[in-house]
Amino acid sequence: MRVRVNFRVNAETGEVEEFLIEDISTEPEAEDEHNAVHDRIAYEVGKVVTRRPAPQEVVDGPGHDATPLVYQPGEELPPTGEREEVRE
Amino acid sequence: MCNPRRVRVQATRKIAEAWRAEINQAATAQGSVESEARLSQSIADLLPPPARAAFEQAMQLSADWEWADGEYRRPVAGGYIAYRPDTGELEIAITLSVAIEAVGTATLVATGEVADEVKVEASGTYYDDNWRGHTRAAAKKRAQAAANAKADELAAQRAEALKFQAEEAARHELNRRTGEAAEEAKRTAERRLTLQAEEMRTDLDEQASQQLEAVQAETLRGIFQLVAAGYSAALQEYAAEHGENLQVSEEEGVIQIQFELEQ
Repeated sequence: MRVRVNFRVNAETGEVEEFLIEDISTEPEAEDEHNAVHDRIAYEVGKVVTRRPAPQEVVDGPGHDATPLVYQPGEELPPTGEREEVRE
Repeated sequence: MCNPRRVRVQATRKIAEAWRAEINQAATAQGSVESEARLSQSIADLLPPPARAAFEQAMQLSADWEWADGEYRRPVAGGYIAYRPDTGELEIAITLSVAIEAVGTATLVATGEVADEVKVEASGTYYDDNWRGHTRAAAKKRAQAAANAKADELAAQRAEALKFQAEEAARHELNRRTGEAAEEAKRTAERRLTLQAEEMRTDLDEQASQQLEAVQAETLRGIFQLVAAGYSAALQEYAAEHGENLQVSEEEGVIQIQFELEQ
């Protein structure tokens, strides 16, 4: 799987404005496997900035027909606990 | 003509010299007014663990922060900032101190009078038979005139001496009460210093509080900037090792990092 990582952080406030891991693969994959790989990549990249990332799937993600996983911490990074929510 | 007779008369002059002594003393009282403003902020509550770790790492690498006795510390205008990694508490303390001075004066006025009396006696002769016009009345008149003249002369001399005595008395009083005036001036200066300190304390408290807020805002901004820089550096390092097509830009205070991964 090929993904594009988009990360935007406010240099003044430290607020993470966007942390998006988009699937940009061109080859089709089985959905279950696809989601599992996407989750794993999102989790690994998320670990760069947080100890326990909790990726969430974004439906109708920005400018892509796939459903990219996004780690979007907002004002604060998520609390501890490994949870994963997938909304279809 | 028979034996001459004598008539005696007296002349008295009372003289007085007033004196006045003014004692001026000044004293200066010095002191200082201090105000302390302090706050504790939980960085552990403010920042999630990775951000806190990034902050602590940046603090460890920064030359501005000195590590001693389990805390990082750096001086700021009028105080210090201390951060304890074990508790995640950031403490900011500002102490402002202003030297103050007050002058007090005291004036004591002392007055008095030195007085004396001059007595002069004179005599004149006459004859019972008024021989050659030497009557008793004429003798008395001459004697009185002589006594008066002498009394005036002595009184004038005595007045000069009294003037000197009055000056001495004033000088003596001046010396005697200088200490008293100095004490009074000192008490006045201290009262004024206390008032001045009370007036200044409110302003100084306000000033310390404002400075504390400014330092807090600046410190937090610095922390957030460190956190943002920490995130950015960590992701760029990851991208350089695992990713491709890394693009980094900063626009309007927002750092944007984009890269691709193949797995």
